[in-house]
Parts: sequence; structure tokens; C-alpha cells
Amino acid sequence: MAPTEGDQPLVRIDGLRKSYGEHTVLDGITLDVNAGDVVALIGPSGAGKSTLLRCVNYLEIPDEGVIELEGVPTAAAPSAPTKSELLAVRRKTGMVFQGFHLFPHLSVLRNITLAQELVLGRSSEDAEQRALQLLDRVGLREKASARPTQCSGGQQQRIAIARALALDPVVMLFDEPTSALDPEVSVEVLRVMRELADLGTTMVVVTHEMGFARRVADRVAMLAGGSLVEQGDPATMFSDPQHEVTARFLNAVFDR
Amino acid sequence: MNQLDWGRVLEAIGAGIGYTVGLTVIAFLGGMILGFPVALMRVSRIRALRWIGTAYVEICRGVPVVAWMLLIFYGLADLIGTDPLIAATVALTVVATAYIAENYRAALLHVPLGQWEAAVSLGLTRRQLFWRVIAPQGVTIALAPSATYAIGLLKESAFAAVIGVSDIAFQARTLTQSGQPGLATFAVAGAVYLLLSLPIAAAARTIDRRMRTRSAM
Repeated sequence: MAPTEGDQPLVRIDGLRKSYGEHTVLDGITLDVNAGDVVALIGPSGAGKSTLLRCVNYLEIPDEGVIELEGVPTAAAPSAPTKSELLAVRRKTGMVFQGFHLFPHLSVLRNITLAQELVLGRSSEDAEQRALQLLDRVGLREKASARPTQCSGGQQQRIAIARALALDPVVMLFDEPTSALDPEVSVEVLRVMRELADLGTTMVVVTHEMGFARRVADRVAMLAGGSLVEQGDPATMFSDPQHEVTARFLNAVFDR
Repeated sequence: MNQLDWGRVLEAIGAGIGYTVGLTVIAFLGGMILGFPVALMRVSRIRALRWIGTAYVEICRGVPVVAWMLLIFYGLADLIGTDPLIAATVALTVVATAYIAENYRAALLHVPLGQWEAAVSLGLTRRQLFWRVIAPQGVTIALAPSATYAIGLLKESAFAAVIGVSDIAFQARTLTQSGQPGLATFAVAGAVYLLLSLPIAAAARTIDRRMRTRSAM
């Protein structure tokens, strides 16, 4: 990851609002993510975690607020980003979905080389080399010529991570990456994510895996009802939550 | 009651098979090729193109194939001559294009939203997204219903007999007019249509099974 100047956060989200008609999903969210940090977004379903994450790469268009990457606003008017602003921000962010969304008509290798060639303009040799290197990293080099449908869910998600990493994004966004997987399969995906974190990858992770949040995240941000309730290092927040909603949520997920 | 002259009936109907199969194959391939641009018009963001595409599909599906054949045979004689085979081929292709265009359209709309989101998140432009991710999957998804439609096309091709193409139906009618028993002759003709449709049905099932593993559906 490229170092940012001084104390400037890599991702700065300020006053983000989003509603669908009457229903407010994000009610003025302000959150910084520093280079190399892993931030876990937790909270009950409907809290706005996924919407917040999807606003960072404009899969959802916010109504108000500012999103900066590396100190630069990603759109002059975030509620109406231009085509070139959208392409630029998506080039810089890597997204991993709950449902993997690999391209089923392409081989695993082609899934990872396609955007490198189309978006970054890499030669097919360079793209292939990078793809194989990433497949090695997620432990799936032998699947290079397979179809995604011939891979298990956990394998597909690791391939999806490699596909996103191939564009060398400055920040990786994970939207409940293990929620569609059985626990024993989730482990292999979480291991890959942990290795990324150890390599200094900046990551924002919407997750229900509190074990992962506790062991890997540098910071946990608790959302409820479209607001950021509190944030802090996982050990402190899990043992001593400052807010009633956080305490209730943690009690529920830890079944205590 | 006359006895069925098997030799004569099979020879005549056999001579018709080429016309029936040829008509069906050409109309099907034509529809597969021409249907795609019509489907693109149907899903276009440009209102005028959408309108043209919709008008084409509704008009071509709404008028019976036999009416198209008569219309083109008698109406466009100045333009395409008086060869019934050409008129029948054009008519069947026009209708096949409309039906297959709808298969493509439905298939394109059936590509899951996640495919769009993944492609968009990787920074693909709208054009790249459509041609590299959505269109290949849409064509694949449309193959199975289109193969099934080919069975319907095979049967509809029998209307070509009305304007004088010497296909299976035409041969059967001619045989009855020259004294062959009607029930038996048309039963043989029907059996031949059935036999021709079986491999198409088998192909449709195979395609359906294969393609399910190649799309996100």
C-alpha cells in the first residue's frame, strides 16, 4: 500500500447520508480509515453497514457527505458522481461480495485477468503473471483453468479476493465475505484475509465474524440505525462497550 | 377404401424432408443472428430504438406465420420474385427473429444483478460490462429456450405447403389428392415430423444441462 502523507487518513468519510424515500439508511456517518488499518464494521442487520461500504465505491450513491481517498474527494458532487469519477474510484477500490459474483462464463484465470487488461491496460502476459501470483497467494493455482462453478464456495470467494487484488487497489472493501459460507469453509477465507492484513493491506470489512474482528481488526466501528454508535480497538470495545446498543448487540452475538 | 402405397408415400414424403429441414434450419439460424440486434433494441436506453424493437416483436409475433407467408408470397412478388421457397424462408425467419429476440431479451435481463455489480466494481465501462460480462451470459442463457423453440419452428414450417413449397405437408396433401388414404398418409407425415423433432428436443435438453453450469443462474 502506498504510504499517505502525514496523518492523513487513506479513506475519509464525512457526514455521509443516504435514504431510500422516507427510510434513512445512513444518518450522517463520519469515519476515517488509516493506511494499513483493518476496520471492521459491525452492528445489527439494517444498521447501514453494507450501504456505507457500498457508498465508498459508489455502488450506492450517497445523498450528502464527502468521501476522500488519499486526501482527494472521489467526486466533486458525491450525490452526482461523473462517469470518469466513478471509473477512477472503482479502479482504486477492490470489492468483495457476500455472493462472490465470479463471472461464470470465464475461466478462473480469465476472471482475474479481464479487468487488468480492460481497466489497467496491462498486457495479457503481465495480467496472467499477476493472476497466477495471486492464485498462489490464495492457494488456488491449480484451479487456474477451471470454471468458477467447479470450485467450492470458499474457493470462489478466495478467487474473488484475488480478482479484486489484481487491480492493486488502495483499499479493499469486504461485504460480509463469509456470510454465504459454512463455518468450516469460512476459515479458509478468513485466513486469506488475515494474511492480507498482515501484509499491510488497508481493509474495511462488514462482518458478523466477531472472532475475526477481535483478532484481525485494528478498529471496530459499531453501526446502528444508520449512525456510528462508537468505535475503538476490538479488545476494549468487546470487553467494555460504551453504549447500551453496543452492549446489547455484543451480548446477543456472543450469546452471553 | 384404398390401400396405402407405402413405397410411393415414403418416397414422396422423403423428398419433402429436405425442404422442411432446410426451411427450419435457415429460419432458426437467421433468427439466432437477427434476433440479437432486435433484443439489443428492446433493452436499449434510447427510447426510439426500444420502440422500434417492441413494434417489430409484437407485429411479427401477433400475425400468424401462414399470413406472413401469403403476405410475402403475393405481396412482395415484385421484390423477391415468385419462388415460394424464398417467400416461406423469409416469412419463417421474420417470425423466428421476433421469438428468439424475446428469448435473448429475457436472458439478458436474467443475468443476476451481482454480475453487473462485480463488473462495475472492477472499473469496467458500461460498454465493456455489457459485451464482456452480460452479453456472453445472456446468449448462453437464451440457447436452451431457443432450441426448444426450434421444435415449434419445425412444425410451423408446414404452412409453407400453403404457398406451394414441396415440404412434408405439401407432399402428404398431394398424395391424398392422387388417391392415397388421408388418415394413413397424414399419420405417416405426422410421424416424420415427430421423428425430426426428437433430436432437437434432445439437443435442447443437453444444452440446458450444460449451460446451467456456465451461467450464474
